[in-house]
Amino acid sequence: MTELREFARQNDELEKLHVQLVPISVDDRQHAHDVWEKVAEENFAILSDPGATVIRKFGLLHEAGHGGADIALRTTILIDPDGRERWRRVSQSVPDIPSWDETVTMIKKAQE
Amino acid sequence: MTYPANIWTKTRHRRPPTPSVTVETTGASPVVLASQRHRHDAFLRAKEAIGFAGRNEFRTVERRNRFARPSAIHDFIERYRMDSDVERSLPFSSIEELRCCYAVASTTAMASSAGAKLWFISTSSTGNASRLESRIRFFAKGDRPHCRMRNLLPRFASFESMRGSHGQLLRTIVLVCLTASSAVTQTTPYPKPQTPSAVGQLAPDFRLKNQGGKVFHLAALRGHWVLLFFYRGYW
Repeated sequence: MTELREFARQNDELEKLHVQLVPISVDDRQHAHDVWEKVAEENFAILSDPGATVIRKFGLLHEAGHGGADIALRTTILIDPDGRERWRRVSQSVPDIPSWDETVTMIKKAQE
Repeated sequence: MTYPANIWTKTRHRRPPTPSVTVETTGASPVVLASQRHRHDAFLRAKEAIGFAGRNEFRTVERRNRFARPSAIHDFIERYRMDSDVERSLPFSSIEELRCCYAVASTTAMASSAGAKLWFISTSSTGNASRLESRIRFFAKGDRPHCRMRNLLPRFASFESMRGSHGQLLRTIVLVCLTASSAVTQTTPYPKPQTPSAVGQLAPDFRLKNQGGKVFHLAALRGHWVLLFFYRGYW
């Protein structure tokens, strides 16, 4: 959530880079709405994947990661205009959160 | 300026000060974390307990104290409430308790990365100490912190000479802080992703509903750069 809040703060820069942010979690619609309102500051849509279907598609499932419930591994994926993955960063532990600088550096590098 | 030889005698009837945390980094100036209101008291205790060098250093460090900012505390809440495996609701009854644990977490992380020695000092009252211990007990799991905790023990032996319950209290809180820091800095790894990397491959297409019930289709964003961000959820 820290990273998501940072994305909200840096939304202008994301727009300058012509990058569309798409956050996804297993939260239901109501919780996604809360995140949209209070964390994302209504800057970008929050997708809800309660069955973790898409999370499984991307191979990012953390089985029983929250009190026995399946959740997503915290991951950032950059997709280019052709629909191909250009960068994937999967967190390895709770404190392993990529910084905004790291993310924006990788975006700029991919766009060169 | 001179300081009283026995700071406990001078301060034991005063209103209990805010818990404070001290960290001494290897080869660098010590860092004291304390609230603005109780900085002088925290300095006295640091000086008494670990031979803290001088008031000027304390002032210098205080200006650098970026751990007690409301925004930093808010970030801590965000991280550990919404982004971690610990309980969803943090059982802190006051911002002071949270500040103390946040400081422990911050300094531990900072010191761990620097391979530093840690010194934790709390100056809470007996009642606060008991509550603090119970409140942060939920952190008490996980690995040992990545710092040289053993170095603490000989120095803290000096607490034995402190008066009555105050010395006992201080030792208790120190241990509580160590327990908390051990847990906060746990580095229990997440499981490996089923797909560690798919760079260069087409991203799988999908449709999902957003917070407003509208359907999002990834393929509709062809021609644009997209940053997918999977977060752990359960906010």
